[in-house]
Amino acid sequence: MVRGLSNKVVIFILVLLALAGGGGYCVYEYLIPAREQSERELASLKAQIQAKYEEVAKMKEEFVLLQSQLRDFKDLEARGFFNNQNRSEAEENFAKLSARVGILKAGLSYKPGEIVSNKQADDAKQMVIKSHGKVDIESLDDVDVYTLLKFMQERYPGSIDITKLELERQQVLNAALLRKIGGGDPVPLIKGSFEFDWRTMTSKDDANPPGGN
Amino acid sequence: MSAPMPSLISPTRCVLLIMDDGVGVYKSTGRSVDFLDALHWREGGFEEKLSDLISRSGASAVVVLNDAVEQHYRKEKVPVLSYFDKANIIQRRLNVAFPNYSMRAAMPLKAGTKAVREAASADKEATKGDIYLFAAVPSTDAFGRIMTALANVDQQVVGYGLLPVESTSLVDMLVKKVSEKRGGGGARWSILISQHRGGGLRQIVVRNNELALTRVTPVVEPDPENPGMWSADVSQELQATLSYLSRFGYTPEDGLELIVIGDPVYTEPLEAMIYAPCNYNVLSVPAAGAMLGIRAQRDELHYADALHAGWSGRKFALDLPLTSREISGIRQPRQVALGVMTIAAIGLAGVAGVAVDEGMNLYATTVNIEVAQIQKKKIEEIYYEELKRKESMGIDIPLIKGALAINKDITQTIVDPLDILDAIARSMEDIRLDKFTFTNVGGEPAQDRAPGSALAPRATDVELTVSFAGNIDIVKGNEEIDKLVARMNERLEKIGYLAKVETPLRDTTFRGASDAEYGVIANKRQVTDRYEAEIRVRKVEKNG
Repeated sequence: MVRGLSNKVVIFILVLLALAGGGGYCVYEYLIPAREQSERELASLKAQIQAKYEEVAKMKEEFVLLQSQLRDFKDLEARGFFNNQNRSEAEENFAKLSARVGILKAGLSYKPGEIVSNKQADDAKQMVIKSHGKVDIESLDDVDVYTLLKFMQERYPGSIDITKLELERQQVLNAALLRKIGGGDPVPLIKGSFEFDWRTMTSKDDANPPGGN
Repeated sequence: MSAPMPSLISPTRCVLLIMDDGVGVYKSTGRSVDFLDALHWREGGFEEKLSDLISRSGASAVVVLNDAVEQHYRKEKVPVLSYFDKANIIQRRLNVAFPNYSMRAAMPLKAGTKAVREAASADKEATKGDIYLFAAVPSTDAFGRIMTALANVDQQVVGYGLLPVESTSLVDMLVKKVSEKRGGGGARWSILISQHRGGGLRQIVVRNNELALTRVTPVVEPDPENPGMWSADVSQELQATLSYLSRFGYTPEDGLELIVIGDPVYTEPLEAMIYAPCNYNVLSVPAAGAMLGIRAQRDELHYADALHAGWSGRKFALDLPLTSREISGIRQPRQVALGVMTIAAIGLAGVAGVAVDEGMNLYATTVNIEVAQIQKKKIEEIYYEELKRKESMGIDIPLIKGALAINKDITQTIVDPLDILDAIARSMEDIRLDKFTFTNVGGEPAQDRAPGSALAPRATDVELTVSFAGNIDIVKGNEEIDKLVARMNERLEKIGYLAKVETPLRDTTFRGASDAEYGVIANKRQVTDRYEAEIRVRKVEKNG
């Protein structure tokens, strides 16, 4: 077969080479990819386990934390943070507050409400809604206006964010004015206006009722 | 001569000792040598028998050793050559020296070169160049039959060497051992005399550890009935050798170590027949083998050919391998085949190693995956239990967290105007405002923001307008305004605001414009006229 070598030797070499080549092919074509695949699978499983562990730990931690947060949440709920800003209810509320304060005149107007983008609200299947309101006001005393503001901040559902407040003294109190007032003629001494943003959270289902109102 | 060492590649070798009347076959391992058989040239089926002997020896390689009469030696001086030219020049010189012999080789004689240089130290020209031992043997029919036998087997061919050259180191070793045993110093000249199975008496003369002379002569077979006959014969041959030595520069002052290997029955009478001054040493074959670390057949006391075969057989490489087309034709393909086999075996071992390693890793990973799947199942069970627990409590975690976080952002961002107005009102004393405007504009607090980022910025300010009667002292009025601002700041700074006079009642510095009438009928400012001053309150702290 090969000069100087017996067939036995040549066949032995060929078998050796074939074994080495075949073995190498099997190792690199099947064994290594299989090992890499299983390592990837293991790494993925470990990552999933780790993530789940962290999630469980977080849930347990949150559970402890939630015990204390639950009270704050209940307060928030009680203050009407979850409100759909129904306009008729809002007007009714404002009328009650104005009457209680004794404002001479208060004109309330709301712009159409808008949705504020917030992921946390989305995660809770809620949305933050904001309405911009404006009140034109006439009063005997500026303290009445401050009282109205205070009441609004405390009694209004959700959060009232005063963005503008403008007051001007119209007249100086004198004997003639006092007589006029005493005679039952309400004379506004203070005139002004204030603007505010009213924010609440409401369920997405509430915002899109099946009836479409 | 290089010191012999046990072979690393071929621990078991078959040594073919070519003699004038036949070939001796020996099996040499690292520590022992066994005489297998001797085949006569005229024996029928010589090649087949020899091949069979080699195959049955179990050896992995064959060493061919020439112990025949016809060996040609010559010492040649080769000029100092560059490394690249040396091989070609020496080969050419060999061709010139032995044009009729196809098997040739050369080796440098370092000690010989040194001796020549010392002798001719005055003549600088004479010292240039190295002394080489050139050797050659004819390509005989007997050699061709050996090659045919070798071609029929698969064993590696280590080389084809000359027994006297290869055994020079054996002589050195024996001289060293007997000198140590005797307690004396070594002589410059040594002669080893031994009889081989073919009947020849081999004499190897070594000077300064290098081959000086060798002779093989026929002697009578040892006869236990008449041991003196063998001794007399050997004595004559030794005398002949000693007579040659004087031509090689031997003088009795140089010292001579004479070692005779053989049965003491024949070697002891020899001592009385030697008249030359020398250290006479007699060793039986087992005794010499013990000194050389070679275990020869115990029952063989006289014939020393096995010692030479064992000595050469355990060498890693021959000292002076003769080269020829016939030897190369058999040796080179087998060397290449061995190299390929070695590489393939290493490759196979490597592949097997990688396969085992990868297999172990795969197994370990598979086991780990199983464990991980169990862990995953468990943690998922815990997770769903936790979720179920919370659901059963009616807690909507995202709602609670989200609502509180959004409310917190709104609360921290928005500004209550009453806080600022309260601080201003408490600073007014008997001054009253005509009007004020509070503005609080900026970013949307409920909008998404990245974790850790600042709250939505807000610009908050209050413009206050104060008026004074037209007939007041303007300087005093301005001072009152300044005092008012100072009082305000005492309170406002605590809540992060700062008041500043934006417009005084009237600017009395050079920057201010002035317009007034004087005289009896001049128009003067009345109480009902008003001076107006403006104060601005700004937020200086960031919200949140």
